[in-house]
Amino acid sequence: VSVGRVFSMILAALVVILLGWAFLRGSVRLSAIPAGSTLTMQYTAMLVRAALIVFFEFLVVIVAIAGLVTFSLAASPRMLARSGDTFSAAMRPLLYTIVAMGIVNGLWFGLIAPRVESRLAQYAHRKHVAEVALQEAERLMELGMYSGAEEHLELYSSLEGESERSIDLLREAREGRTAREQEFRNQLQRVPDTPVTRAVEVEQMTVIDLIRIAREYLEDGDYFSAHHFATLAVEQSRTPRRDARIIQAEAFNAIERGSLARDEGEARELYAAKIAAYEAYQRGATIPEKAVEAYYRFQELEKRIPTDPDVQRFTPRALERVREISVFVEDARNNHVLPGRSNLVFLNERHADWYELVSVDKLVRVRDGDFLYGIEVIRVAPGSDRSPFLHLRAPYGKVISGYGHGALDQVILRAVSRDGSAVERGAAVVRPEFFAGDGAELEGGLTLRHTVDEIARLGGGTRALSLLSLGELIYLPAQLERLGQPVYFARVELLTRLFRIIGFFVLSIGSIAVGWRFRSRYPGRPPGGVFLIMPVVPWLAWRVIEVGRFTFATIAGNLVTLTSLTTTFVLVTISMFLLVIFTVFSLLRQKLS
Amino acid sequence: VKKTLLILPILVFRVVLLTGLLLAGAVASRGHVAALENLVALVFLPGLMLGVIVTYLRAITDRVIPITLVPMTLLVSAAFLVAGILVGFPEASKPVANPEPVEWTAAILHGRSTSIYVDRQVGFEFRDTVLIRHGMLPRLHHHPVTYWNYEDGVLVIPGEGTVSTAEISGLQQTRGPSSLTLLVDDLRTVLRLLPPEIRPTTLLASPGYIATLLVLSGLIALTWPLVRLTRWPLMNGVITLGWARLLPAIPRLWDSAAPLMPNWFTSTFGLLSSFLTPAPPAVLLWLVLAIALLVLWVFQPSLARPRREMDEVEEQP
Repeated sequence: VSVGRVFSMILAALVVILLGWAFLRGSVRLSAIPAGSTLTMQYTAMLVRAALIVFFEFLVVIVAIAGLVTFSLAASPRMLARSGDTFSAAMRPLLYTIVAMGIVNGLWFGLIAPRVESRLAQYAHRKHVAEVALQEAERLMELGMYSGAEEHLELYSSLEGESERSIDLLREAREGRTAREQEFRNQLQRVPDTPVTRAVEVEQMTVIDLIRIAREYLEDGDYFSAHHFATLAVEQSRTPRRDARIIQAEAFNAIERGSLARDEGEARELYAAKIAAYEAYQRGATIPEKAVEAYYRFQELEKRIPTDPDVQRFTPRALERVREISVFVEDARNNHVLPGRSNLVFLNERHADWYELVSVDKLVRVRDGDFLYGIEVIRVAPGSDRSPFLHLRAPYGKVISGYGHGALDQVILRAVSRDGSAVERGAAVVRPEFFAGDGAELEGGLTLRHTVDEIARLGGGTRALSLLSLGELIYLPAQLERLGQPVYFARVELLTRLFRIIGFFVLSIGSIAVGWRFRSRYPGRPPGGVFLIMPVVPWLAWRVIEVGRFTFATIAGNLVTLTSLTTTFVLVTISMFLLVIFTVFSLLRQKLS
Repeated sequence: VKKTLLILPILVFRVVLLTGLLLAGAVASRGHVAALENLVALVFLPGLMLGVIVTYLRAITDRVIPITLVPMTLLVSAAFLVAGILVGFPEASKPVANPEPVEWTAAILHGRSTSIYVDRQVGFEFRDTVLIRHGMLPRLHHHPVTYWNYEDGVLVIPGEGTVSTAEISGLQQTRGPSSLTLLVDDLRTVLRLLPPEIRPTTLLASPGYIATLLVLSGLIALTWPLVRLTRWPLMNGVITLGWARLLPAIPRLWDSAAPLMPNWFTSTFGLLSSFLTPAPPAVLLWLVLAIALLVLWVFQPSLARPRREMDEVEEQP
């Protein structure tokens, strides 16, 4: 039997034991995640991932133990002599194996482990979202809110696929919603029908088209549409269009006249409401509060005269406009139950004389967009008496992406209720609360200087570092710095990984040298009593490695502050390689007998 | 004897080297477990112990005569201990670690319930900070200045009291792995048994200290029978290291075991210990262990036989 085979056999036995333990630890870790079914392929894949993390954590320990045991107990000079004339010749195939394992270990810690960790984190997050969505759907079903339940069930099945329970619930929710809609339609039929005029879309229209359409509407007696298209023509035209202005004025006069021409009573009142809603809509283009008002007015009108062509045309437009400047409290509240990143803090801007710090209680990323909860913004001018000069808190926020290349995202801080009912402090509109300043410079939204991705990834503190690959740890610090996250921890993490990657060679080769130097001097197998103490070896090996890791981590902490990252990186790499070379030499110095 | 005598300077050199290495390691880890001035005292005993173990492990293959090696080691250990006392062990009392070697600028230090944004750090003073209290409304609180009290693990906010830094990354008192901190605590207990600062005359006049010194040196020198316990040096090394770890733990183990023992036993033991060694009971326990090692050594078979056997085995074709 060659020494290489003995080493492989001992290592294989240890690998089997470690794998068993790793799978046990992995399943304990996964048990904290709500699992749909533990027998699925997906669960198995995740279990393998979780187990691999534990496996590589302890791989160096078992390689060191295998080296120690093989060369101090199992291998004899005669066995080695069969593999080569000298100790170094006998060692060569084994060194190749160790180098190959070291490369795998290096790839793991440098590249694969962070990916595996993020996959596990995603998996856990998805499972949590799915579970919460199902619970929320059940709760909404009990309350009779079928369409909300349906949304949550659809979210559930998009994440988890369909289960018997979710299919049943979805059918119930759809039936409930259909019944509700039928009921609503029956009510509508009692409202007298008015003829519906054709709807025209304004997108991609030239000013000439707009004016032509406005004129047609004016001739048809549809004054709201005529005014709307004429206004659009005036806005879009670069030169003053007298013809458009004339149609605008004529249509507006007709609208006013129409109000007088109507009979007394409900019809007149409805017409006045329509004018008010329309006016609010027009002014909403520049004043956000008016846009919200227009939205509520058209909502009200839609309930009363759903078949009115003006109402049908302007209600969706008002909705569109209000979505651009506010977040619906109902949407925000629905998504609040979903899991997300919590307690994010980041530096949004820092200038010579002031800085802006943002804290977000929770960030939920869903298909509808990125919802923020408990957003607090503070602006401080260092050294100034009137600091902070701005401090606000908004309960809800939603990220809207900026238009154009390089445009910055905005967080809308105004929240409104969907149907105009009071949501907070008796009001339908929730505005940020100001502790200092009035936010005039915020212009209704907070401009984000970073992408939501960066904030979600790095705003939560040092726990994100284990998800970064070696390359990212080298290139990310600039980004971290802009977000106000200390670069120090990333650098320590980088050096610690280097220690782990190169330290593997030192420990595995060194263990062989030590094992051989202190090999058993029993002519045959040692007496049984000696084996009783064997379990101490892994324990001691682990303790030594643990203390070694701590010492190296603290040394890394000191090193990164002494010089620049590049210098430290190069210095550490060189000295670690020197240590490897020293270990290899101390191994090859050993004699066969 | 000549060969054994040659080992002496090597032994002294190794003790100094290993103590130095341990000290360097402890300084490099910024004394996470002790104030820097206490580090010398703390690494002194482990350095001595490791130096002796390494020398013994190598001596086995060097065919020295143990009957001269062990007493010489005893003398060297005693000399090192006395020298240590004469130089003066600083009182190794309070564990004081040093903070992270960073001055924070424009940095958010995250914590579970409280995080802090530090715009600029000047010594232990943080300027233009924003405290983020994750469970309070409002969350953000601007403070022009906060003071960091590292030793007590708190942030002092003028006019508002203190905030614990136990959970704030970068500000918490980092402690090493439990195995290391426990070892340091044990070593500190042992150091307290030794006189802190003493003149040679007073040392001679206090039999308790002399007994402690002798027993400790004896224990260190008597690791020899353990180093050659089996014919597998690696296993011997493991056993001896385990033994070396156990020794400083004896006072702690005695303190925790004494209340569980019957009253008559502890009182008799205390009486016996004050009679035999005018020192704490742990010293008597050490003495018992030293005697046990001595007995083990006396009854150990000679090294000649295994050497001959190995020679025969290795010389076979």
